[in-house]
Amino acid sequence: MKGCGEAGAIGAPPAVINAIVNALDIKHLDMPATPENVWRAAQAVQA
Amino acid sequence: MYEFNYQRVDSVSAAVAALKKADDGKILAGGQTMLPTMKHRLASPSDVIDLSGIAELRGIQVNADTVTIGAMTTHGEVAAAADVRKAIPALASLAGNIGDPAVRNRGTIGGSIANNDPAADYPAAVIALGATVKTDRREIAGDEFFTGMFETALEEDEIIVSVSFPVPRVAAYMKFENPASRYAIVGVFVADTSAGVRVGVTGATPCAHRGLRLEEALAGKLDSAALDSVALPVDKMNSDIHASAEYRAHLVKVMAKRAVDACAA
Repeated sequence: MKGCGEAGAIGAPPAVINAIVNALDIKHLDMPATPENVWRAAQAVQA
Repeated sequence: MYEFNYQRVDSVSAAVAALKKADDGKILAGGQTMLPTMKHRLASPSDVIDLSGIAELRGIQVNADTVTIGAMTTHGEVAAAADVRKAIPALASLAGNIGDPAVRNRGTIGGSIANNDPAADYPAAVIALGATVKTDRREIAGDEFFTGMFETALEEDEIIVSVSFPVPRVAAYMKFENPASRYAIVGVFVADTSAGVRVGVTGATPCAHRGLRLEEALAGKLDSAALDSVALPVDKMNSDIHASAEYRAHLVKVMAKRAVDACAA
């Protein structure tokens, strides 16, 4: 009998990353979305 | 940990005498730094001198001008003390946000400032509030107490008895904390004191320091917009797995502005 309990967790990381990408109006952000990584992405947009 | 002699002393003078007599003695306050260090075998004192039996070192006194906290008073005790919460709420809430409840139940103000971890919270408050550290032999001004990474003005066998904080008009502490340890990646304590607006910064550099550039920009007024133009030296900031030097420089400004806004509110 194979487990399938974790399947429900698959959607969460893409949802969060997509939200950040949408907020910053960028094409892509590598995980992990640490505070510093998000800050750097925001700084790059402003530059 | 390696073997050591454990001594429980009942007075400050007995503690100093025990330290002098030991080959390589260390004081035990709350043990929140020293015991893990010993378990990692990064420290192996010959003698551990436990201050927990010294009643004189515990307790909090509050009057109109000053909050005096005994060196062996725990963070939990400071956080819960109604008279500290009334006199210097920022200090009570700083204590209440150190580590976690288990740490706060054991960790002490004396141990925290004697250790002077670059990411500890209390040093920022001691500096910003212009506190006085009373030891078994003298008084040391907060501005002069923290001298380097894990270094203080204390002599080898000197023991902190209490810390006295002048009550400010208003104060606030903002910390950008590590999500696991709750240590300050950056912490800024702003106080409007009788000597003007003072800023203490921890977490950002190897040793907690007075935020002189921030104080200069504020020019005595609690208006965070004045901090927008401040340029902090990135090359002085710590850089590690938690945050780069550039991000810390940015965070100091953000936490400073939030602390100033909290004071002005």
